[in-house]
Amino acid sequence: MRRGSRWFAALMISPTLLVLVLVVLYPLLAAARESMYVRGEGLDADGFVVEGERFVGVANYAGLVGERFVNAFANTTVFTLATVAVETVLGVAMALVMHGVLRGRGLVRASILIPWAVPTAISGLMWRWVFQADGVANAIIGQKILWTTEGVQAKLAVIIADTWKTAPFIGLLVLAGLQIIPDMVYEAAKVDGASAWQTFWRITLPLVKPALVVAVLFRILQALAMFDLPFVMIGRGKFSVETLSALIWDEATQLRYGPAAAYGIVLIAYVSVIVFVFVRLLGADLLADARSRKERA
Amino acid sequence: MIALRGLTKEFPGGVRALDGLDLEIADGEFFALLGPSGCGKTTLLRTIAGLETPTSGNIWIGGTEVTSVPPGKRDVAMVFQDYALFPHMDVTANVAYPLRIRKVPRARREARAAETASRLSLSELLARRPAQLSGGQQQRVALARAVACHPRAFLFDEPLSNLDARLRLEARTFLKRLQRELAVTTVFVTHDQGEALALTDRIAVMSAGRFTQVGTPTEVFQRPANTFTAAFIGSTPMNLLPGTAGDGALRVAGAVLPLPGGVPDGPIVYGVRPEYMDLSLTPRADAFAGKVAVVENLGTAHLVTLESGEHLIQTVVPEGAEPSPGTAAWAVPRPGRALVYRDDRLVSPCPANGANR
Ligand SMILES: Nc1ncnc2c1ncn2[C@@H]1O[C@H](COP(=O)(O)OP(=O)(O)O)[C@@H](O)[C@H]1O
Ligand SMILES: [Mg+2]
Repeated sequence: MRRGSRWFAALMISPTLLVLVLVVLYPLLAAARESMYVRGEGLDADGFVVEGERFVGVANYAGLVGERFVNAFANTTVFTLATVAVETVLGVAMALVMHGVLRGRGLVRASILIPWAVPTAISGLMWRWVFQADGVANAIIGQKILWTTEGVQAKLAVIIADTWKTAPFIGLLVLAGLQIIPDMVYEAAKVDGASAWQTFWRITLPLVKPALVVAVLFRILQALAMFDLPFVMIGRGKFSVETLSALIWDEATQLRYGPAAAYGIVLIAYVSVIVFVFVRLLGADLLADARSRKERA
Repeated sequence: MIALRGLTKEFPGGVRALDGLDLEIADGEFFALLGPSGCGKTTLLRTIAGLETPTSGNIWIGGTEVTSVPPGKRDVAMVFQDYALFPHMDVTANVAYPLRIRKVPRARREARAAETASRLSLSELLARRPAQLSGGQQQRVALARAVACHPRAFLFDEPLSNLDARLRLEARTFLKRLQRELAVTTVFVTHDQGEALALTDRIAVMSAGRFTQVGTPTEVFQRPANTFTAAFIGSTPMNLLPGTAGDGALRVAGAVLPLPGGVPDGPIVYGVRPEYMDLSLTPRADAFAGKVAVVENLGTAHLVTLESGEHLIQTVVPEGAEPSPGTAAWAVPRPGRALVYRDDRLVSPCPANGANR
């Protein structure tokens, strides 16, 4: 590219860049700075009372090895892995059903998508009701499990509720991917003698992969930031379902902004690493496809 | 061998795309389904492949009845009009896919794919995806996919229609050679009469879900069984003119022409190809008199359209002999080249045995 046009390009994207700097970079830097300060009253090294902010270096990050942070980190990871894995399988199945039905298509699609339309706080309340001690869940399995109290069953309840809510999201995006596969490709496979199973694994899945990768990526980002569902369903500060977001929120509401900011920075780093690895493993192919399509055009 | 008995396909909504078809295609035969767009060629091919279920009638492939056998068990290979390559697989994987379904070990099927690809000059392209290939290359990949699995029959749906004119000619020659070499029964769908004449052993001309004629290219070209076939076959449209037979002569559009044998008296339709007429600039009784309306350059010849009363009559004249528009001219049919139809059936020359139904 010529020098002049490069400057022109820079000029043209500068408004976007400016907005990004304001709404992304500035808060990020502010949070990074915040994570190295403490606020409020304290004693300095000589025993004098100080007001306002005080630089403490990496002291706020000491909590990273604490039990509460490690637990929240583990919960976040478990929730993300479990919900995204189950939702991917269910979402693809839903998409195949939505794509396959010939009659009452609108009704099937609408009913599959309803959970996605319900606000999380509302569905949290609904599932809390389902998981009451004398609730629907226990009635169905004939047990007396205290789902919404501390313990591994609370984790399970959250995973079930989250899956119910967001599998349709994956279903919807995968459905869009399914709809652009031409029928002729399936017919070619049929004439070649491919079974339904072979067709699914070798034709359908690879061809919806671009859509599926995007859907799963979105879901991973959301799941890593999960906050409202455990909060509404199980309650505030419940150890067995406390996520990183919940921990950060809790620290902040107790005016411990420094540690809150430090955990926030760690969460961002964690999300970045996961996304990077994910795109590297699954997304590279997607980009290659897009590139070859562009070359041809 | 492929055989059809009373094959009928009615789509929901009442479209009768195939209307009681009977046909036998011999082993190793290169067979064309020729007809205008919408006449049911694709439907017939898809029904043979098993992608459509016939409403009634039966299909045999290689001596076994396959009417209700699923497509994958019919041992046929299909090349779709838009190739239907798998976009996420490279050329090797596309060509080897049917073999993979048949559980041929990886090394064997890749060797076979490479060998087939090299026959179709695709060796350089083995690692490419369909999106990185031109139309002609994609077409060859689709052919390679069909060829690699040695099926009992090839089903080709207008495989050359997406190619530009020059490439189409090359592909035509190539396809004919390939079919001869492999000697696999081939059903070739096309709406291009030139392609059908050039490529195949026999042609079924289709119109509105029926065969109007089944015969060799020579039969279909020289003795079209009805006026539909007559009008459809040939690179320039045949002249078809109403007339009467009687008193030992044919009277057609003002011309008095010799009466061929076997034509009973009465109303007839007279057909003659533009190529089988000569242009005279002096009056003749055995010619169509008219005024030159249009002269079209065909390269090695000219297509001249005469206005003769309410009829338009076309004739082909050699290079350098074209008249100028507006002049009077007489189109003289060559003896023995005329086709005479009564009630839309060929009565002269004698239709070849079994060539029409
Ligand atoms: N799936 C279908 N449903 C209803 N009508 C169809 C369908 N496929 C083809 N037809 C109709 O059947 C007739 C033959 O179509 P087709 O076999 O595609 O013709 P061709 O290949 O000779 O152009 C057409 O009138 C077409 O509209
Ligand atoms: Mg067609």
